[in-house]
Amino acid sequence: MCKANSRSAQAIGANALRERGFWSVDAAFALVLAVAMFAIFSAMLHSAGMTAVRGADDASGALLSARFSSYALEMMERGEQVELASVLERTGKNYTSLRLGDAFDDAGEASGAVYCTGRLYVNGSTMVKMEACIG
Amino acid sequence: MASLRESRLGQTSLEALLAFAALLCALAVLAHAARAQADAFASAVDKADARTALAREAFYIDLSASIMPHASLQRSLSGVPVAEGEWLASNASGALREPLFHKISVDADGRYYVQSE
Repeated sequence: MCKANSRSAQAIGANALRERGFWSVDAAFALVLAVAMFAIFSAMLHSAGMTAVRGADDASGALLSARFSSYALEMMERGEQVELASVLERTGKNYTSLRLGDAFDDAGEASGAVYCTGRLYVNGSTMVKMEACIG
Repeated sequence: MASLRESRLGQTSLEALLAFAALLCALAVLAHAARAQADAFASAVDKADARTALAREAFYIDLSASIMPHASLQRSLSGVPVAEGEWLASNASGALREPLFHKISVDADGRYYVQSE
């Protein structure tokens, strides 16, 4: 009788151990870690992709403002007026401005990143600071 | 007792099979999600590469056009002139476009020229 009870208790203990092994804290923790690592990896990948796109947009904006400043200089050397409204229409941007020394002119409304290029140019015998912005 | 053990073994085995199936499903979902993430990342990087190349190309075109009017750009471009040469569209993605301050055109030989204003 006593032996039978002892065997029965052993069997229950073995079952309990097996079930505890199946749904253990270690297994649950491993699952949590796996899901967390996957989420972190996904977030990193998404962030890296967005950083690449933002970097390309920045490069594009910076080069566009450099081209715009060269275009403005070219127009001034030809003795032509820089029409900011036509620049906006041509480039499809929202805002542009041109500063020549103290004179400032702009068109459109800035809504987002605005990229500027500053340079010096010789106007007759004087050095004038020019800043062209577009965004 | 023996039949109880067999029954218990069978039950455990069924649980294991169900758990294994659930694990496989979870792995399939994770693999699908990972693939979607990797595709989105590759697409973003490709788009960024194409945009940078196009912006650089537009810069070289405007620079050479302001230095040498009527210049011939005797090299293959990473973009195609569109809208009467006022825009440069990417070869990789037509949705990517860069405005040009100097119009360019293409001749029968596939060479690009800066249009005279």
